[in-house]
Order: sequence, then structure tokens, then C-alpha cells
Amino acid sequence: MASRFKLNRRTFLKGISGGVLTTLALPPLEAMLNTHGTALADGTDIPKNLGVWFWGNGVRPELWKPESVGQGNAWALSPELAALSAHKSRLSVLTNFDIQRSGTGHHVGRAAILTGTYDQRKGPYGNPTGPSISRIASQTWRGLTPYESLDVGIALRGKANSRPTEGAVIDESGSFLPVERSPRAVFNRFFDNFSPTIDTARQTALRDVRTTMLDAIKGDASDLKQRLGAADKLRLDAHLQGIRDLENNLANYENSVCELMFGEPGGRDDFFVDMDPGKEDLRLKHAIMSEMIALALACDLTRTFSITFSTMQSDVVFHQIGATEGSHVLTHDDRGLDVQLDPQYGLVNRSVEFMMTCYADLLDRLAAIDVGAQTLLDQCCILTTSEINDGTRHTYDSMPIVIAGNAGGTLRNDIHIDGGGASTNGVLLSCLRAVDIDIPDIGDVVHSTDQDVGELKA
Amino acid sequence: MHQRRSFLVLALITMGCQGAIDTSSFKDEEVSTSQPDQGISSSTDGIPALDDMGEVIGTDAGVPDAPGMPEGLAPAGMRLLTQAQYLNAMRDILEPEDGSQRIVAPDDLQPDPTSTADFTFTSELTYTVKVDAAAADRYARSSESICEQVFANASWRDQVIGCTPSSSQDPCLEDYITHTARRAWSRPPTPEELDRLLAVVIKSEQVLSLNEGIGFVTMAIFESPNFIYRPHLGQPDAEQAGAHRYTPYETADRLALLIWNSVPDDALLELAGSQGLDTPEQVRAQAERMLDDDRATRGILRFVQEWLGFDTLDNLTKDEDIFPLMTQTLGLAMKHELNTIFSERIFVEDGDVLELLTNRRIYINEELRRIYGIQEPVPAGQWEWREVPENWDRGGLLTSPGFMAMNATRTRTSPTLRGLFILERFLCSPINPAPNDLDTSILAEPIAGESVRQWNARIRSNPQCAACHNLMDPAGLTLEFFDGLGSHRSQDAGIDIEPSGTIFNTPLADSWALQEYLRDSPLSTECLTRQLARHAIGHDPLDAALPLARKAGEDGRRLKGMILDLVSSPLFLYGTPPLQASTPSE
Repeated sequence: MASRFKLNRRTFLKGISGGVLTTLALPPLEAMLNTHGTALADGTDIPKNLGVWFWGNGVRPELWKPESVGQGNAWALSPELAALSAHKSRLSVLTNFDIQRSGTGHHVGRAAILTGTYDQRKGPYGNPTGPSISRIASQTWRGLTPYESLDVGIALRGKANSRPTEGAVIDESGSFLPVERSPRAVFNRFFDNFSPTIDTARQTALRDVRTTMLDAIKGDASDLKQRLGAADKLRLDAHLQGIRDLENNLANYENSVCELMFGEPGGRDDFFVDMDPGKEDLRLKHAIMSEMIALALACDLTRTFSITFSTMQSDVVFHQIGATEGSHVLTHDDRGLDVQLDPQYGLVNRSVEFMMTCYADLLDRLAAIDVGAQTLLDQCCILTTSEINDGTRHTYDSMPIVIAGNAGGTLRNDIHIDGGGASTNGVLLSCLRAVDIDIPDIGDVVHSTDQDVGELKA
Repeated sequence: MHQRRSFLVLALITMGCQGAIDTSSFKDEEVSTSQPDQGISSSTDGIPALDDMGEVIGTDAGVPDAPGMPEGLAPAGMRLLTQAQYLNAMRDILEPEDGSQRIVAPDDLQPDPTSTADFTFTSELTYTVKVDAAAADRYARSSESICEQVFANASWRDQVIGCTPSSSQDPCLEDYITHTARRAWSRPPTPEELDRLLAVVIKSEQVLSLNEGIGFVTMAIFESPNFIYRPHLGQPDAEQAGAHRYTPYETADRLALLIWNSVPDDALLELAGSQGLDTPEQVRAQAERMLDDDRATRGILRFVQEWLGFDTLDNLTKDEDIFPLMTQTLGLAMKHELNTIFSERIFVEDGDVLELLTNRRIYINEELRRIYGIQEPVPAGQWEWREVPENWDRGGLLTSPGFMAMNATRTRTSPTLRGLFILERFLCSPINPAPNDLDTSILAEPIAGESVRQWNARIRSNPQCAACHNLMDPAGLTLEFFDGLGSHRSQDAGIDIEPSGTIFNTPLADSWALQEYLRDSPLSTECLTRQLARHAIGHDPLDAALPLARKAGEDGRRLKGMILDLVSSPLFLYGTPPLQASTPSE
């Protein structure tokens, strides 16, 4: 069986910090690209990918914003972005793009930066009313890949004394969808089928039985649906769609384009360290998740992903940089009290630097996989952002935004753009259009735009 | 029809915290309606709440009035199993009763729905939450993982199947499938459903093996929406115009979800199928039987944990430099103490749960002994009942380390969190979060040398902050003797602790007075009743819980008795017709 992409073997042999996934190995690969490496051998375009990388509580604006605007040598990365230096030529930084809604607060920012929508009457703090951009992409591309999307969460803690809050993937009704927080669960879900030990005849038989099971389950769902009220019918429809997608997965695996071998089946437990929620090795966990996301994209198991590094208002404690209070508490503590600016501003700053170091690990993984003439990172548009700008003031003007990847050459990279107060909705539109999802506008009745960011176009 | 009246004072409080309302509107004569000596009277028979749009639910909110229809009913509908119910059900059905085999929980169980609101019962979310492809996949994998454990083990498998079928046509196989589906779905499968399940075994017999087929059909039963969802739809009822009466099988399921946090047993389903669960008296008798079963601990403690939120102790994190007694297992120990105190009170003593507020019995291991500051050590690995001396500042449920630590930050106490906890959980009087446009920056933390009480006074001297903080914080300030980990202290920032406070303008000398107030206030009995109903029916019945609250007050607030009264009441046995429009899932 052939692989669709030319995977750089070193990606897997090199492993990641801690050597966790080093037992991954690949069988000999046979390139399925055309001779120029610009398209698949059958002439179709190399798939594009859309991702969201989200963290909570914003940045220190004075240390985040690059000093000058422009492209290439005209601008330099700011202190908080310095960890991305190896990838400066593959990303763009957008500042002075505003959420054009009144008020301040985490909930407005999260809803608007991920979906372009916000309704203050929905729930005690207001919530989105439409889908996040990775969800728009996953629904547009539904059925093309075995999985709609791969959505993961890294830091477990939400706001103090509450349950972990939601991640960065939001459905059409504005409801938050769960994200995978366990690397093992992601592995089981996406890579279990790549077992080197299974024999083909048995696999076919299992698939036949599985189809009969799904028939029974779908039959049960149809019967149940007859008895329900309209609201519950919709819920069951969503479930039925989920079951149909599972069925498609089975069919898609039949044409599986990627063959991965896991060096030591049964030794897989070593991949995933159980971590104490208070003292997680967040960088390691994120690196493992990034590795699996890179593999899933490379094998075209999915084309959309999201990483919620920390949730909105997260109270994850960045012990890695010496913090003893949760992130949300830290960003509040430093407010106004000049005598306390240091060390607390410093801790906020260092936690942003730490997160960008982790983010660089994802870009490393994606950039290490060759897709013909380009890398997997180049096939992506990754919206990288938080729910506010300055945690101290809860502001969401000049939102922190990095766009990584050029979406197959459609976006300009290595540029710092000053939006001059333009709407963040235009950024969302740019990312969607770059991956060939051409929607007319994005937003809601309060604020909507049909203008993407002109300067970002290649 | 029951008379609905709003409780003016609390309504004002709630509105005041949505905007800047002058707290002088909080009048003493109105406050007096909540004094403990008044008993439950018509003047207190409304407890305000916020709906999901953050609005006060007034006198005319709730169920549309239809002639004769009981008030406060939840809409009949389809409820998703919680993660614990899913696992408990599979364990109850597939694990041998002798305990010889135990299912290991799979990695990727579907997580419970969460809400952006701070305090919601999971059951309230399970009536609207949607399942997507990733969730459908998780259900498939979990069912597979559990059935693999059972069917890869020959003796376990034989115990589960109960016979050795010779082929897919063997009648004993059909018995096994029918029986398992009935347990899992809380009703017998229809002939069509049975045919579809048999088709799985037949296919497997053809292409794999009969044995594997029995595993696969079991997986299919637990992957079916008939298991994952619990449709409680009811039938239009002749006696209650406009209401739906839940069918006996649905009622059996509702009882099991509430009392066992799982599915019904065979005995209950037998009764449901043979007119044995038709009347409120029959339902009550079964509930009584179920409460005497060990599985009831699971269900009832689930309610207590959600009501008082102490499942968050699983993830307790504290600054270990500030709190050297903090250990990795301390949060779990705190939770174990609270679980044990409640379990003893409910199942062994069958006593007043709100009296625990002024009970000095504690349950400790060596880790907790150090937090309590008790001299005599507890032998390693053991737990012991002890009594807190009467002359201690500590005493009563609220002063247990668990509640003190969970309602505090990582580094210090928080009168606000503690006060909010008391108002929200015991008095059903939630306070809105600080408005978005309010700049809270200046007062965010105590400054050096300042006690938490002094810092709190600065906050409440600011008129904008005072509107809400005056309602929450003075109750929390009575607990200042207990630091952010729940250890006793006599000073904060070098200043002697002063434990006085107020609740609804009633002066309190200390935490004991606060707890006496809560123990005796009719509002806390009403609130407890309402919280129990919310958990049981997934819906806030508001005033409709008041008759049950009166009964609970008369009967000494024994939780088992309250459950018996609830499950045999219209609130539990009836619903309004299923919703015909889509509702947001938050």
C-alpha cells in the first residue's frame, strides 16, 4: 500500500522531547505525487488543512506586538514571539485587528475570535451563536476523510473551582463540542486501525460484522426517532449522522493511503505518561498531540484540527516558569498596582513565551513533513489566538493573532500587518477562503463582514 | 392550584447584582421573612432563580398553566446517560454478582456535558446535549473495550451468557439477547429490534465465529441509542389534562437513574411489565427497596456531590510553599471524609442532613488529622471517627477542610467564594458574576500586610462592588478561622481573626451561628428540596417543590424520606409534552 505523501522519515525517528513517540516507524513509502511534487499523481490538488491553536488569558501587549510592520527583513519578532524564529518565514503576525463589539470580557472575545458571532443574552455571560472556523471547514469537507476533525485540549484546569471549560470548537448552534484531553484516546481513535499484526481476511470479516452492527444501531435510531418530539428528533439526527460518519470511516480505511507501523505493539503504554493534573508536563503532552495531528494530516485522516492549549479564563498553573497561581488569577493580580508589576507582569509574559515555545513544537512537526515541493505546514492555515488581548484590562482590541502556513501558496507569510482597527472577522474569512472555502461573509446581525484581509493574500 | 409568589427580598438581591441597585432597598422588615423562627410560611414560598438568559424568573415563569396540570414539571424527553451511569449500567449488567470480575473503565468514555453557568446539575444538561461523530465514536470504542474484557475471558463470558449456545439458532441465545437488551434499555426489545440483533450473530457465525458474534451483539446493545439515551416520553394522561404520565418502564428507569445512578434490575423491570409499578404507592415501595440496596450509595452520593460540588476536590491544587500540609492525596481524603459523613447520616442513621451543619463528628485519616490539628495520631492507612471539642472555633459541616479548601484560591481564603457557595447551594440564591464593564482591578488582591478581612472591607466600601459583595462576603467572613487549605489559624497577616459576619442582614457571631442559621432557616429546607428535584428530574421546579419541602421539614429532612416523597409525587411521575422546537444545548 502506498502513502499519499512523502513522509520525512526523520520526523519519526528523531522523536520529540522525552523520546515518547520514538517507537514509531514507517514501512518503505512510495510517493503518490506527480513528478513535480505539486499535485497528487492523479492530478488532483494536494489537500489543504485548517487549524486553530487557542490559549486563554491573552498576552502582555507591549511584549507581544512586533515593533515595525512590513514583510521579510522589515519586521522582527517581538520578545513574546521570539520562540517562533525558526518559522518566521512561514507565518504572519496580525495586530490592531479588533473585535468590533461593545463591552469587555472573556466570553465576548472567545465567541467572536472563534466564530465571528456573540449573543450576550445566551447564558449568564453570553455565548457564540454560530460555528467556529475549524467547524465550518470540517463540515464543508465532511465525508472526504475518515475523521471530520481532530480537536484536542492540553491543560486540564479551567477557571478555579469550576469544571474545565470548553475548548475551541463550536457547532452551528453555538454549543461547545468536547475536545480530547487524553493522548491515549486520540491514539486509540485515529491510529488503532494501523495495526501491523492484523490479517486482511479477518479485517474484511470484521468489517462485515461491523456493518451488520451499524445496521442494527441505525435501525434502533430510526425506530426511536418516530416516538420523539421535534427537539429530540434533531438530537437523534445528529447522532445518526455521527453513526453514518463511523460507517464512512470504515469505507475510507479500505482506501487507506498511509501505512504506519508501530514498532512495538503492546509497548504502546510507554507513549503516554500519566500526568498529575497539577503538575503536568504540558510541553510534552502538547508535543505528543502535535505529533499525532501531524500524522493525521499527513495521512489525510482529517483536514481540520484544533488545539486548545489552555481554555478561556484557564487557571492552569505554569509551574514551568515559576508561577504558583493559575493563569487567569495571574493576569488579574498585576492590575493597577504599580508596586506589583514585577514579578507578576513578568510571570504573565513568561507564560506566553512558554506557550509560544510549545506552539513552535507543533510548527516543527508540521514543517518536518514534506508534501512534494512544500511542507505540511505550508498546506495549512492555522489561526493562532486567545480570547482577549490584555488580561489585565480584559480588552479585545488588537487581538493577538498569528497565522501560520500559507495554505498552499494562497497566503503571504513573513509579514506583520497592522489592521488599523479592522474587524477580526475579516481574519477568519481570510483563513477560510485561503483553504478554498469561499463563504460570502462571516458574523451575525450585530456585526458581520464580507471583507477578508487584502494584505494577507499572496 | 398552588399559589405562586415571589420572594421579594431575594428577587431584589438578584436584580441588584445585575446592575447597580441601591442596597438600601434591602429592607429589614422584608428580611424578617427569612428568620428561622417563622417556619415555612406563604411569605417565603418563592425562591428566585435565573433562567438561562440571566433573567430573574418571576412569578409567571415556568410551565404554562393548563387546567389541573401539576406545576413545575419537566418536559418529557430524551436524556443522555452520564458517564457514571453508562459505566455503572454496564457493570451492573455484565459483572458477576460475586465480584469475581471487574470491568476496567475505558480511556475514552464520553465526557459529561458541562455548562458555562457555574452551578448546574449534570442531569439538567443531559436533556439537551447533542452527540456528534466524535462522541458516537467514543461510545463505539467504550462498548467495544468493555465487551472485549468480558468476552475474552471464557469463564466471565460463560457467566454472562448463562448457557452454551450451539448455533445462532439456539433459543438460549435469543434468551440471552432479549434479557441483556431489556436490562440495558429498561424495556423488552421489539421483534424488529431482536431480529436486527440476531442478524449480527448470524453474520458473525458466517464470517468469524459464533462466540465472537455473541460479543459483537452485546456491543451493539450497548452502542444502541436505546441504551445511550433514556427516552422518558410518557403518555397523555386522562387524569391530568395536558400532562404526560411516564410509562411503568420509564418510571422504573427514572427510579434507577436517581437512586442507583444506573439502570433498573430484573425485579423492577418485572414489576414494570406486570402492573406492579402503576400507582404512586407501588413506585414508593420500590424506591424503598432500592434505597436499601448497596447501589443506592452510588446514586445518593452522586446527588450530594453535585449539590455541594465537592467532586472538584479530585483536582485540588494548592501552593505547597504556603500550605506545607498539602499532599497529592489530600483532596481525595477530604472528599472521602465528606462522602462518609453523608453516607453515615443518610444510610446508617437516616437522620437530618442539614443538622450536619452543627454536628461535630469528623472522619479522618492521618493526613486530615494534621489539617484538623488534632493531637492523637491515626494509625497509617486507617480512618477513624473523632469529635471536635466544643470549645474549638471549628465545628459543623461547613468548617470541614474539604469545603474550606475548595472554596478558596490556591494561595489564600476567599470570603466571596465561601459566601457564594452558601447562597447558591444552601439558599438557592445565586449571584451574578461581576458585570463586564466593572473595573475590578484596583482591589483584585490584598496588599502586603493586609488581612483578607481588611482587604474585603476595602472592596465593600466601594459602592459598585458593595452591591453584590455585601450579599456574599459577610457570610464567608465568618469562616476566616480556616485558611485556604482548611487548617485553623488565629491570625491573618499578623492580625487576630475576627469571625463575625452577616447573612441577609442577620448578624452572625461566628461560623457556628452561620450554620445554626442555615440549619434552622426554612429557606435551606426549601432549597435542599428544590436541588434534589432539579437533580432528579433535570429541571428546576421552583415553587412547585414547596409542598415537598414542607413535608421534608415536618419529617426531619431525612434524605431517603425526601426521595420517597419526591418519586411518588407528580413532579417525578409526570412531564409536560415533549418539546416541539429546538432548544440550545446550553
